[in-house]
Amino acid sequence: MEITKLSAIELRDEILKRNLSCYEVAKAFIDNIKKYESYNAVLEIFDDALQNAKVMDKKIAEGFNGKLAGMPVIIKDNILYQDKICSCGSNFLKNYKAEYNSTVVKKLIDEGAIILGRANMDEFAMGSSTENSAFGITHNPIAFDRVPGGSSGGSACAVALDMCPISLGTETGGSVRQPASYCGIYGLKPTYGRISRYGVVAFASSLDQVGIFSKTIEDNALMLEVLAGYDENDETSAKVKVDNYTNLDDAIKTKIGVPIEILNMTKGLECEKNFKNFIEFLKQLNLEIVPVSIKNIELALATYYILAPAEATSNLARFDGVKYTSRSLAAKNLQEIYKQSRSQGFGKEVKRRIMLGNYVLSSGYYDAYYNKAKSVQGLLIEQCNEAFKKCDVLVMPTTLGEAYKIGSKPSDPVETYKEDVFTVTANIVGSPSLSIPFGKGKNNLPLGIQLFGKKFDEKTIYSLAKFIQNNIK
Amino acid sequence: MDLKEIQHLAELSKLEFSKEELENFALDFASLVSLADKIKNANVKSNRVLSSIDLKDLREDDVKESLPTKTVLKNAPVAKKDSFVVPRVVE
Repeated sequence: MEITKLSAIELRDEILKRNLSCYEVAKAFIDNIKKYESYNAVLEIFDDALQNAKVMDKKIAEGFNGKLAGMPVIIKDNILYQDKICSCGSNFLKNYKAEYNSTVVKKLIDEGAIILGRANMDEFAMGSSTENSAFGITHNPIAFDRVPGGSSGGSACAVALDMCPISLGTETGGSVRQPASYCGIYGLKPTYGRISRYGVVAFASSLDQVGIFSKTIEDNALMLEVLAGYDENDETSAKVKVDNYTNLDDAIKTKIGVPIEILNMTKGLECEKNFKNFIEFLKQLNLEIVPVSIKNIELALATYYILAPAEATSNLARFDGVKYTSRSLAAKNLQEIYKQSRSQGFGKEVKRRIMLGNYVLSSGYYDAYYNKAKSVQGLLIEQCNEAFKKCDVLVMPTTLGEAYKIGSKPSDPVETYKEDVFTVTANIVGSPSLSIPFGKGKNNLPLGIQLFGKKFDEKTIYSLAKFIQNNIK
Repeated sequence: MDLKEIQHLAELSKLEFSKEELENFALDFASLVSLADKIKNANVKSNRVLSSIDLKDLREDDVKESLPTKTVLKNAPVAKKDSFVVPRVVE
């Protein structure tokens, strides 16, 4: 059997049956990371990964049977793993070593996962292509001259190229779903509050969530089952019962809502035909399709690009040249330390968003932009709640089309921001959304469809995805 | 937006730019602001601000153990005697 082609659950089961050792499994995936080094998906292979795998083999021999026993995982470079570098794809943090474990890393370790390394990302998760990392561009796993999507492009590429069976990314406006779509895999953005954000470097705290990349639904669901739950270290994590996500329901009675505004927004785009094909496919499966309306969804992109930079401006104020590793050597006084350290440490896109955040929060503009955006957020929440009275799951495309060529976007930043047009709504309203691979574009590259669920109802979208997965085969 | 306004934003952001960078930012900003301006078309009756968390769910404000000072200072560019060190601020 080829180890790196097995799913995460198959690997764990083979390991627990002692047919495979954690060591040989970790070694096989690390060999793949090295083999595909030119894709620049992984910034660092942790030097203790193989040793940890050996220790896990002993524990398993002594009876340990964690849900992720021996499962190799790669984490995005903004998730703290104690004593390991966590650079957020930024020069500012290139020497920063995590002082503690994030809650997600603690849960991975407690259940027996072997964390192999950290994945490349757009600097501070700001971007949709992984072209904005201080440590080089990550390449698309299927077409080397194209982007893998972003900001969690490294994590997505790593799963698609069998560097690990499952990986973690983070989302603020689509940073898991969009790269999942471009790389032809599954990517979940859970409900806001479903997974603890403790120890995950903040971008926009009211929108951020840890997300999961996998090649199968079952793997994704198992990982959510492990990571979900209340954490007193994150007061925004929810005290909502964690479902048994691995025991999926029959999805035949799932009611599907198609937002009529989305049909309009896809007109003329590459995703238009594929989205229509998807709806036809659902009809053939005898699923009930109902039209719904999310009247203000066309304002979601503007809303997002006000709220996210506003929060980023505050969150990134902590990088001041005093606390986190980088300080300008030339600075003579405190003001110079702030300005020079930040100017030298941050890349262009990060600076742009800090500036935009300060603009929308500054006196004279605060009501016109920030407060207005918060009001539109309220409208979108109400409109989604109304839509969910008629259906269980909303469907929409994940991206405009296939992965685009590296360096092909015009210099106008808004052209790149438009990539997020279909993904930001889930973050704004706090809903879970799963991108599933469905269809191909004009260059035979993967496209994705989002299954967008009610809050804390990941189980329904997983069940539907499983039903679709079974029927595509 | 004029350069003076961009310069003011840079000051608020604690960022420094060359003249050329500022001019580029001015171009970007025209586009960014036109995206943000779309929000002005929204027909919203009230400016309700939503909270992401229910305040009644907050945990008790008890003092609990947190990271040791030494651990926190590990990543400080300059630290001395359990403190971050910065140039003298008050003369």
